[in-house]
Amino acid sequence: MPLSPGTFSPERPDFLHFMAIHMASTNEHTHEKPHLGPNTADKLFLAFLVLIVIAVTWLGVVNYQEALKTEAAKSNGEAWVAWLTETGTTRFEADTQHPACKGGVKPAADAKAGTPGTWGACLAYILETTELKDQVNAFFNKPPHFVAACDPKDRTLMGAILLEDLMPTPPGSATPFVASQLVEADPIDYKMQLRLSVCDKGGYAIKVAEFEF
Amino acid sequence: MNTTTKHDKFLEDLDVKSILGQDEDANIDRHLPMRKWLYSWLLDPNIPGNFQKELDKWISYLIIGNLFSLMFEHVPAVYEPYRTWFEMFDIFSVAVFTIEYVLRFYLAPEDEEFKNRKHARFGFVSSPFAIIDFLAVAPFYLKAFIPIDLRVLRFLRLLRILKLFRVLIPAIAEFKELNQGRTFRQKVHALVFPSNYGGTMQHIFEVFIGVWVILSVMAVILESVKSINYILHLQFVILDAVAVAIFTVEYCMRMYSCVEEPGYKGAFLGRVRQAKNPSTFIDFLAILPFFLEVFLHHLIDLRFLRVFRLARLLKLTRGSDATAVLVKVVVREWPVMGAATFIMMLLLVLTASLGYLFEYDAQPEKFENIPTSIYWAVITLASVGYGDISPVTPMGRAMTSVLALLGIGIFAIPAALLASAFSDELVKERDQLKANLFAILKDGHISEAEAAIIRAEAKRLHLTVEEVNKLIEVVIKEHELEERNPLPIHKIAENPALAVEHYKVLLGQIRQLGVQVDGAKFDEAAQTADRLSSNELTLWHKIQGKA
Repeated sequence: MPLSPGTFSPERPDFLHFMAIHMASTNEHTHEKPHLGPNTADKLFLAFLVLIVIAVTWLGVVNYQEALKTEAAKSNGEAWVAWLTETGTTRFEADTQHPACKGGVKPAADAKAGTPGTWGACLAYILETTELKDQVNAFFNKPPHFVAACDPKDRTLMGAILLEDLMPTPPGSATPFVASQLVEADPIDYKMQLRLSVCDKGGYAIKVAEFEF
Repeated sequence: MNTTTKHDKFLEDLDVKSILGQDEDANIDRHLPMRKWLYSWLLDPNIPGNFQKELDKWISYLIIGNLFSLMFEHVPAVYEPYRTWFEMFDIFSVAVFTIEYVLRFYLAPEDEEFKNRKHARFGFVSSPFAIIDFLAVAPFYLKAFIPIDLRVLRFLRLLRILKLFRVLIPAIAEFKELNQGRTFRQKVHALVFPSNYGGTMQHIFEVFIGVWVILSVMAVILESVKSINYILHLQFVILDAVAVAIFTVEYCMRMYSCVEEPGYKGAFLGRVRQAKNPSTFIDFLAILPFFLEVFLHHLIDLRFLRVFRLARLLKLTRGSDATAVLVKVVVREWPVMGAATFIMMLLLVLTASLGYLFEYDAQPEKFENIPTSIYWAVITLASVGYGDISPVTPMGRAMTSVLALLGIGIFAIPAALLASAFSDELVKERDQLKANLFAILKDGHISEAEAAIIRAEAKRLHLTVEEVNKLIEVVIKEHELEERNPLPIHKIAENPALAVEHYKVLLGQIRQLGVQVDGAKFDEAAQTADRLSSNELTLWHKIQGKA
């Protein structure tokens, strides 16, 4: 048969490859018996392999810990959503438990942050009296802050909270609503549709929920 | 290879199905006792064509399914809404595993391993495999009697993975046997590179890597779905780290043992050559994003890096020949394709320039410059026609009509070239297989090793039994024709080496004649009526070694 071990393509195990291996295997028996146990090179390789596995595991753990920080940011966001949703169901009642966030109280047109009926007053109340004041942004070990937008270029925003007011657009519009950051001077006297997101490690927004407040 | 063994198939009793390993009709006597009959069909590993392999395969799938089920049970967002389905799947799995256990218990007296023992079934129950099988189902029944903590129960259910050892242990034993007397590096090579020494273990290794490639690519795709990523983010991070650890170990093993591969000899240069090999480079690309993400996340966009992980899908091309054929075809047809591409580019630039010329005045915002017009020309030539930019002037419209018609032809040229080149390549490879079959069948029989080669080639070229049958028929016919019609003398005379071989064959035939014929009678017949001259007779005697 006109086949030789040198004629095969190393890219794929084709016919000639099989023949070459077969012929090589038949020839091998005639050679002197090599040292069979792991030699120094094999041991070095095994040590290197162990090191690599340790390194990848360590990097995996680092990644996991970073992911846990994102999870903590998400938990912070979920706690805010839970509180705001729950309050949203009762804040229009006369005897609401959280008067600073009471609905139906129209602030003055030129209201400033802290004026009753604004988001600023409600936020100050939340950060003073509720369990949300103890939240920690795991990325910086500081309380999470509210931002206007998440930005991948600004890594100081990791773990920050983005609270947006979703304003419905007129029927027939291309987009159903327009989102704008809920700032402290914004009135909260009406039933609001909000969206809460948190900024992840990469600086991208992770939507936690859309809810009524 | 030419020594005839009991496994050899001769041309007269050639059975292509058995050569291709597709003789799936198990030959089991219907009149066997029930237990023996059941064992033969379901569990006997020595009867080709029975359901033993299928059974093992489906049990393995079920074990892997259980592993995934266990993993998702830890994600409340997935588990809670589908709790009933998870429980149903668990019950189904336990039912199947229990049936398997009971079946093995009942059929133990037929098993080669236990049949010679005094208490075959006790032998089975106390065997390691049976203990593993028992542990896989026991917690499920145990919880009916004893309140077990859910976490403990889940951990105990993990023991089901041990059932995979039923497949793994025989494969490891086979691998050890195949690699007896080989060095550590040769064993690593046998595991990661296809060779005659790999056996089932190498196949399992490839499947394992393939499964992880698919899993990690699916994870990358699902990560882009925000709602899924929100729930499974941590799981995706863990999965990615495990996948990278596996791929990194695989990469190191390939780089270490590649020097055993013919064509990659040399501790340094061989490995450099291996590293430059496209498939190894793909392996490197598969793990690179993970390390870049860890070290350079503050410099590089993470989303870009994550999408880059999709390159892992290319790892699957190692198991397929299609990519190599595609590259080969493109390289071979490159001069013609290059010419077609050049004409295409020429037409494109010309059309874009004319479009700009005719349309700029009418629509300066759309045909703003020639590069913008090139976009319009490509979309029109490729018959895509988004319609976001369209001509409005009569000249522009006339030109677009011509352009659209030309586009069909121009864009079809490379496609047709590639299609015909692919077809040519397939014909070539089949011709090659035919030539190889011709070489194999020259000695009139097919050995086990040769059958393995035919099997591998048929699998690579996706040939059916009928197609291989047809090829073998053609080869046998050609073989017979060659035997009947040897080369004419003038053709042999053209090649001195062939002439010498022909002379040797003729001398051999004369000697054979001398051995078989009665010497005295031959001499008598030769001398009668001067059938042979004295010189001819002397030459005969010389050839027979009598002179």
